Amino acid sequence: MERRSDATLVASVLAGDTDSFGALIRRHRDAYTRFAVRMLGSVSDADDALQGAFIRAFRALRTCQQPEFFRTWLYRIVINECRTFAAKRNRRERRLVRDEDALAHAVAADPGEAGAIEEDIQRALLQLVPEQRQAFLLKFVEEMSYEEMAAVTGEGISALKMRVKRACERLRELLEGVVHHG
Amino acid sequence: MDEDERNSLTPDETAFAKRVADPLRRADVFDASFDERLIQAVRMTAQSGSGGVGVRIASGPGWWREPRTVRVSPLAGFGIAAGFAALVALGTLEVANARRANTHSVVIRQVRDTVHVVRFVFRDSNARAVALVGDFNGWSAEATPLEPTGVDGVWAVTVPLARGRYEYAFVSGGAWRTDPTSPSSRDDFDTESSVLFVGSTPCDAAQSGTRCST
Repeated sequence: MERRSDATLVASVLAGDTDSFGALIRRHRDAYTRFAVRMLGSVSDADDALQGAFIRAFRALRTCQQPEFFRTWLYRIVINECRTFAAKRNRRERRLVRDEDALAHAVAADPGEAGAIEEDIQRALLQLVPEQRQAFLLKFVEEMSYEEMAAVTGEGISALKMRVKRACERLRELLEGVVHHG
Repeated sequence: MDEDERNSLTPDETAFAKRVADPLRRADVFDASFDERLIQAVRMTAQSGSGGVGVRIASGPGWWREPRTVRVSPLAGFGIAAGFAALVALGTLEVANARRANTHSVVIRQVRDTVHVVRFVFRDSNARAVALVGDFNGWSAEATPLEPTGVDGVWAVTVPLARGRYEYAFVSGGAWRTDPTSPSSRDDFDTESSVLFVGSTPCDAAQSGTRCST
């Protein structure tokens, strides 16, 4: 198990040890994977976006001025990469997940009730505008504080709170009867 | 009730949001080859010399006076040196045909030995908002917005850049737009971006494998 701190691993990578970059990514990958899949609605798209984000992070590692906050720094790159990735693909085809293969990859394989609920939630999530979807995911799925969200998005806390509020209101409309309110 | 209070979630709303989020917290597992592909790409990047190119785009006091170290291959180094000589001889370098409608242009002016001020111009009479994305701003669609110039459909932004090769694109109306008048490059995911050489000429692109537009 890798015990070196993020700052130590960053220094090691900058000294030429590319394997240490793999250790950094393995340490933080699950959270980024979850965010990218939920944000883009597709495991394959999230795979592409994260590969791009991590390569960009490797290239720009010298600009990580506070390596002890590597996780936050990388989160910012992942968020930007997901946003740019979504801007490049055809949003109208992916806003509602219609492709059955993509849907099968994006949600649980379990065809039971839990899987169906997750499908409905993912569909509803993809109907949110990207800024609201992102805010909701960071707040309630990644369980960040508003201060952390501000650090990774560069947005003000008031704006983030408003986006979370709007996201919750919209999800409530979309998921009427799917997720119990009380 | 102030804005913060209006945007605060009620306990009921928070509880609902948590019930919605709970199923989404399932850990998704990528294809088992994800790690292997990433490490291979990282090693290739490191071997190609483009890992941490050595050009640090910093902000803050003293940036304009700090020298920059550019690590490049010998061929690229010769090309950059030749390009710099051409730049000094010409004084300024203007790339692209600004007279054509709906095209873009990049104007580079050398301010110091190590700094160039690059002006990116985007033309589209239908554009409502335009952003510049590139490897100099982390490909952030929010970091470098273009501003309207007052001329219909013309947007521009000025960015200080040190000598080197940069990839960039414009994002307008959610669409990714490359500069048809600049060399282009495709990344590992077949995404096309425009290429900018600061301190050298596009003719050196052939040596780096980048397609030169005519």
